[in-house]
Amino acid sequence: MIPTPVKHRFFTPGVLIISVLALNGLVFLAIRFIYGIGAVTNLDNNTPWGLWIGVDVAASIALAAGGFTSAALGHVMHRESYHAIVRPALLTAMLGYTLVAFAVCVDIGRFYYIWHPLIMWNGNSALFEVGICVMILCRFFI
Amino acid sequence: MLHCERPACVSACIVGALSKLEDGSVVWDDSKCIGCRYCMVACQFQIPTYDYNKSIDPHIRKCDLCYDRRKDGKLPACVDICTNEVLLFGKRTELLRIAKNRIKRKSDVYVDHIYGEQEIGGISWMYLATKNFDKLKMPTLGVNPAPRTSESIQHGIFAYFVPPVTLYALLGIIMWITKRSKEEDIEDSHEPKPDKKEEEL
Repeated sequence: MIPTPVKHRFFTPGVLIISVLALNGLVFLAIRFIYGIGAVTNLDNNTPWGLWIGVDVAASIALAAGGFTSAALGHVMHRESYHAIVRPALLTAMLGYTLVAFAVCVDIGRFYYIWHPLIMWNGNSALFEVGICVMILCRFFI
Repeated sequence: MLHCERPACVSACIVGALSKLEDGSVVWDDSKCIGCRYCMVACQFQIPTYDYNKSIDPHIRKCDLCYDRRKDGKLPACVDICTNEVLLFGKRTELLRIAKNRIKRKSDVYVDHIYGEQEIGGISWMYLATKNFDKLKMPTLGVNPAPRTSESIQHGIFAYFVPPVTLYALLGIIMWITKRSKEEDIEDSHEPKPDKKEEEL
């Protein structure tokens, strides 16, 4: 298939609605980075994690599952007919994992220390395993 | 407070910022913590707290049994200031002996239960009470340490890296077989595909 530029206009109503939502999110993002995560969420010491963990981590990683499966079909099983979808699937997977990294960066309190799990290992931690997997797989996609 | 013998927060921390010291206290390391608050999720007593209204350098705050004071040989501040010896500080075995003595001496006052002697593998901060502990809103917990389940799973699926290596070896074998059968099918070999493949665990 030869790639061709899209002909219809870019700012369709759907794109506009999503842009407004994204701009709204940017405002809250700014507040979070100025006044802390307590200013934009209802988190307290009894509920340290919000529902969005389920959305940003679970949904974005689920996005990547398609990439894994397509890559397994195309490159591991060598089903050549699937090659057309392997690249877009891998791109989506990479975007998904990158979004996890960004979302986590917003969520954790000391975002400037996000590289710490690379050198400070705690093999007992389930979260450490998640972190290392995200980093390794991100590198594979790239 | 509490300072479990097998702390769930220490097991859960992604970077090992929390540690159980020789003297029994569970302390937090400012230079390691990334602020993910997983320790707060892991803790069964909601002990660690967090600076929610700070954007830069929020701390996880919990009792460290006055680490700085004890370095100078002083007692923790709460124990030092208490006039009636409601709080005692000392070796665990010694404290347990005193607690059992108190229960025996005043069996009409105290409930015959030392909260923290057995709970989740033992707690270094133990309580005596005159009412049942569930009436005091203390969680009723078993004797198994909290991290036991998660750690056995974690150590199981990565035991000496055998399961992951086996999985990738298996995938490699599948690749090799399917590629060979493909080449037998089509004689004109097309250019080799880039060697990027991954399968989620």
